[in-house]
Amino acid sequence: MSKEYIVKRIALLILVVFGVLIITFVITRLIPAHPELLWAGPHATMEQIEKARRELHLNDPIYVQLYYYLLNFVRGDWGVSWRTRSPVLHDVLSALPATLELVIVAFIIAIVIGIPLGVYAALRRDRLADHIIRVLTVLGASVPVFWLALIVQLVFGSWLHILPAAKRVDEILVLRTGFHPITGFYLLDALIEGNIPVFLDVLRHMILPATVLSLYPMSLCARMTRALMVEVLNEQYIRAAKAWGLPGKLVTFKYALKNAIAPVIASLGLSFGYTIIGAFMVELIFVWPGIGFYAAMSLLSFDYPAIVGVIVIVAIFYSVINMVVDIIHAIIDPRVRL
Amino acid sequence: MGVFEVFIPLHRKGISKAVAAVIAIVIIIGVIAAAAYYMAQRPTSTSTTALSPTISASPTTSSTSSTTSASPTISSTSTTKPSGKTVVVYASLSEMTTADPSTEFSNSILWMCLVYEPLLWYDPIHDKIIPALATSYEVSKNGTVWTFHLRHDAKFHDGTPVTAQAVKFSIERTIKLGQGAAFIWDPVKEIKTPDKYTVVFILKYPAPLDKIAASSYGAWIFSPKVVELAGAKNATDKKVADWFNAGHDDGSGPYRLVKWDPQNEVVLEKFKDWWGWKLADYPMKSDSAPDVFIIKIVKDAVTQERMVQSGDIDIAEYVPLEDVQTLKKNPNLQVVTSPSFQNLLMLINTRKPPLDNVLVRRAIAHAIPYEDIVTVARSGFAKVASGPIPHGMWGHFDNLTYTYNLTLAKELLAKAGYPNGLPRPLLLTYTAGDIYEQRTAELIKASLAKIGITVKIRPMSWQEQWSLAQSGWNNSKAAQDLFIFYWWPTYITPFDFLYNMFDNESKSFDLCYYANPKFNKLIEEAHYYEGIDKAKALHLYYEAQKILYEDVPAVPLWDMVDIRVARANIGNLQAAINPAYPTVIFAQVLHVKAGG
Amino acid sequence: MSSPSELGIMFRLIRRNPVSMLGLIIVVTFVIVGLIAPYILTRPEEAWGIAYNVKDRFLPPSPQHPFGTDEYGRDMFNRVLLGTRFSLMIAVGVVGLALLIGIPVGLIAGYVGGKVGTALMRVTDMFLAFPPLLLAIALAATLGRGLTNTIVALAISWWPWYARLIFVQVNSIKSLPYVDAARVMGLGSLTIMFKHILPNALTPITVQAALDMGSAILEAAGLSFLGVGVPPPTPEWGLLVSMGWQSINRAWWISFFPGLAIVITVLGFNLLADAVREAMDPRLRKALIMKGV
Repeated sequence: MSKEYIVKRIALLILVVFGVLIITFVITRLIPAHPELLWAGPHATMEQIEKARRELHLNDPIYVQLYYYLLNFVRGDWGVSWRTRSPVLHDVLSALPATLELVIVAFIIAIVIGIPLGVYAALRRDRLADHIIRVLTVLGASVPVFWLALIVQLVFGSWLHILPAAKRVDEILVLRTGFHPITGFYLLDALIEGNIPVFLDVLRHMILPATVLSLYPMSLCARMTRALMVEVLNEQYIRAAKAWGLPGKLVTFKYALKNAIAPVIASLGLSFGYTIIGAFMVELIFVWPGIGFYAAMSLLSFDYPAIVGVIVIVAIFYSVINMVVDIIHAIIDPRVRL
Repeated sequence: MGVFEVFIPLHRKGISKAVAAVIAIVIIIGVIAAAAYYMAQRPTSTSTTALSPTISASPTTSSTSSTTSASPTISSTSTTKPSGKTVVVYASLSEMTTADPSTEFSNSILWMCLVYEPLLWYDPIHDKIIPALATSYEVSKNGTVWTFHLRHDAKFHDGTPVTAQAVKFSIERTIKLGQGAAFIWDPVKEIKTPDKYTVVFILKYPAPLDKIAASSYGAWIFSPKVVELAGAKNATDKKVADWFNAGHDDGSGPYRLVKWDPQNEVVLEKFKDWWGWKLADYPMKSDSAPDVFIIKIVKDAVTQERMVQSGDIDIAEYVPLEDVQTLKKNPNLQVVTSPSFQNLLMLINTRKPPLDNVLVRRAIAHAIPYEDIVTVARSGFAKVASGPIPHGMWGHFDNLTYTYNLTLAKELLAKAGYPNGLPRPLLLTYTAGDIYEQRTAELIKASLAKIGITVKIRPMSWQEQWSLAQSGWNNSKAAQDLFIFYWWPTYITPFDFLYNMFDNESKSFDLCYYANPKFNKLIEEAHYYEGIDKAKALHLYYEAQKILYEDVPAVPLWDMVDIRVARANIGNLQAAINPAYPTVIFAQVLHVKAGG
Repeated sequence: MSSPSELGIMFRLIRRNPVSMLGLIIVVTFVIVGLIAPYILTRPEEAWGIAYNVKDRFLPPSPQHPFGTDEYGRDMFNRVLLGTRFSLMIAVGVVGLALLIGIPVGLIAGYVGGKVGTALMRVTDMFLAFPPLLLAIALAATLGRGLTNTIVALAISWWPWYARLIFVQVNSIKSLPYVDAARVMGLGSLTIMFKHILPNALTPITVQAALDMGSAILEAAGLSFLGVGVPPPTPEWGLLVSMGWQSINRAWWISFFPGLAIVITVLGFNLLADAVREAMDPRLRKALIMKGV
């Protein structure tokens, strides 16, 4: 692997983040008629509005405003949320682990189920199983996550009482067992502390939201795997290997899957963006205290500083993930280097 | 990531793939660690810091009142909780805001009423004053000198006694900071402390200081020691506010603040030295009050409902109103309703044609289906408003409801010169995300359509619609036509409603742009007589409301009825609710059985 | 390249597969219902949200109210039916507007090339750096709620995809011999661009755009659910789901049926898209043509 590529990719990332900031600047400062009113928040007095004008440098030319806008972001001054009244950066970062944990689990589910499903479909190409899997995966990409979340919550949480309908962990259990989150990743924290009851409880709380969230990447994963496997299975060397009498299953897994895996990972990286927006709605419905919940609540109450903060952090995160995926992809499959 | 392992041993290049996987994981963990580190750095609020081992490792037994360090010990609930202590968990829909008793003017009232005490409490249903830190008070004949006698056995949570000095200190800090509800003390000229347990207020003009002292905001008494504890120069030093907001309290109430995580939960623990526990016949206490009272932030009604059904919480602040009838049938639950002094009004832009015509406004008032709104928006848990003063409050009169009469409305509209309806659509704004306002707005739209008025509904953030309404003072044409709007009083007086919403001196909230000198004079006079001659004040308030009824600057829609759903074993819940202190549960009066 | 025969082949391929055919039927039904919905309502006033019926609140599904009634006593079947029209408007509006921005940008960037082209594509890339929907959410939150604003917000987050697609197409067509020939013959740039390049680049992108309508409906529903889409009482499906959420324990049908409508419609578009994509895959097509489909 070349260092050059990585350096280039990081440079691109910085450029992208810069672009994201410029776009959010345009959206929040140039489009609204009175950005200071949006920034100052509810029940603002005339002095507070004037102060907001000064803070936003609205009396200066646009490029000066942009300069301060960028400077504040770099400095970590992301404004104060109207709703929670605490600094946006702090809110956003403290909500991050809950969301990451949920999304990571969702992706694990997606990969663990999606890839075998895709492989199976490819092996049974054009037979009934393939058609069924195809319809299911298309369905997975067609269902609105918020609706599915509501339905499973209603059915499993309220009607059948099988799984907890909301929240991340039973707070009473937390108090009783003296669980102290360290990293904010409750599964990890519970394991580190050897707190099995909390670990199991967190896991139980996670099943419904993570499954709902995993549906889209799972469908994508299965479809990509299938498409690539079909392609690879047709290729010469597989046929050659089969001709040489290597056992069928071994051939499939060792050679075909190997060539299919890199693009699948790359496409999962792209679906991360979609999944995190899905998390906005899923977290809102399951009262999951992550960035999605924060974002949804901010949107519902039009809390502008918080909305901007969420947009920037999600966009940055998305870009970073894509960079990592690209780099991995390049390492696994040197042909794709740009 | 099992997928990598599949082919690692098969190829020479496997090493670099393993490296790639490791790099990826390292990067992800790095990002996470940076985030976690950042959070650990922040001194405030999150549960990570609030329960950090350094704090819980030093269990300074707080119950012995002589503790010199007043740092609230966080240890007890998290470590020694289950052993026989009774816990009540209350779910609040909104996050807590600040923890400074002088300036807080929002949701934190929920716990401040338990941690801090005012001089007096007020029971608005029976129009009765209940002693708190003051056992009795007198007022001079002209209503300008108020003398309060303090009880001798009250102590702050830092162990120091509650004295006249402390009262003066607290109220003066609130006045000097001038934020939040500080305006309630506007009438006060001077506070005197003739002896250790007597406080005298000299007023600039007569005012009902007993009600003011019982206000739900800005009337808390706290220990002067906070200056020293915060390491501040004086009471108004920002360090004191920071000290409060870091999760400290120094009130005299029945509970102490032991955990402050405003976005997730607030934990209160019984203050054993509270004077009220020892007073046999004090109405605001119970011998089986919970030892620990936890306020959990649960931000939606459906989840609160599920949690109270499963027993995860004991009291729900909000459940979907549609479900209340079903919940009533559940033997494990109880449903408690109580009046609330919050009401919903529709403010009308009285300066924007054609709404400047009083006949048009009257037509609108008669074309609103009040009963249906109550049924749909609140599932019946509200009362059709009769004037801007809510039911149950003094100053409310029962004959001020507009009839729902479409024929009359059409006639009025025709008389105003619009027999075929209004020539332009009216813009109605309401607060985005408020389901009750949204339903009300939809019904108003549907109903006004029947008399030829088209309504455009626009949900907006509170600040946007308020700024829009504010702009109406300069250019009423630019502002919305109709504005759905909640009001609730800071302290219990009709003046609070009438002045803020309808006196043109109140530029902030008179968003009907209504200006009527006769009305202004009436309510001012009524306010003057409140402390001296209540019957006369009442009569003047009635006259003022009759003017509003004729002029229709706003249409009062409904007065809220509060619903709380609790586990059946929470005793005396009805008494723990007082509409003068919205959202508060006075936990000290609850009956809870140990182990229940 | 673009000719009726291409669409003909595509149609034949679709007809061969019952699943794809199902997609086609759903899409056609959706479009027809969307067009005629306002004229076939049995309770138009309730559907438009200017009438209500307090006595009939929360009625479960029955022959009289196939989808039940909501908290205002409005017939959900009529509301969902009218919602079809709004979804159709959103789908066409978003995709149309995105094409209107994306095609010129991609065309200019691809044909003119050089610094202008690079700059245009850099801007496009910056928009693409946003996770899908996030930009739309940001815009919708700034613009405020409304049907037009929702369409604009979604279109602004979509055009870069089309710009990119056109850019790639133009680049590959640009160097084809017949374009060179046209240039040699002394035809002007504009003529070449509009007469020779655009028509050839257009077919794949219009097919793509038509099939993207499913995603547009899905994303608009998401915006409405998050409270930044269309305002009530518009019977947009996402909004209907969100409005029913409050009473879901009492009346599951209020949220269920509008959501089902979204699922079916989007599924139709996606199944069709799937089939078309397969049909456009050159290798597969060759095989099928050889088989004599």
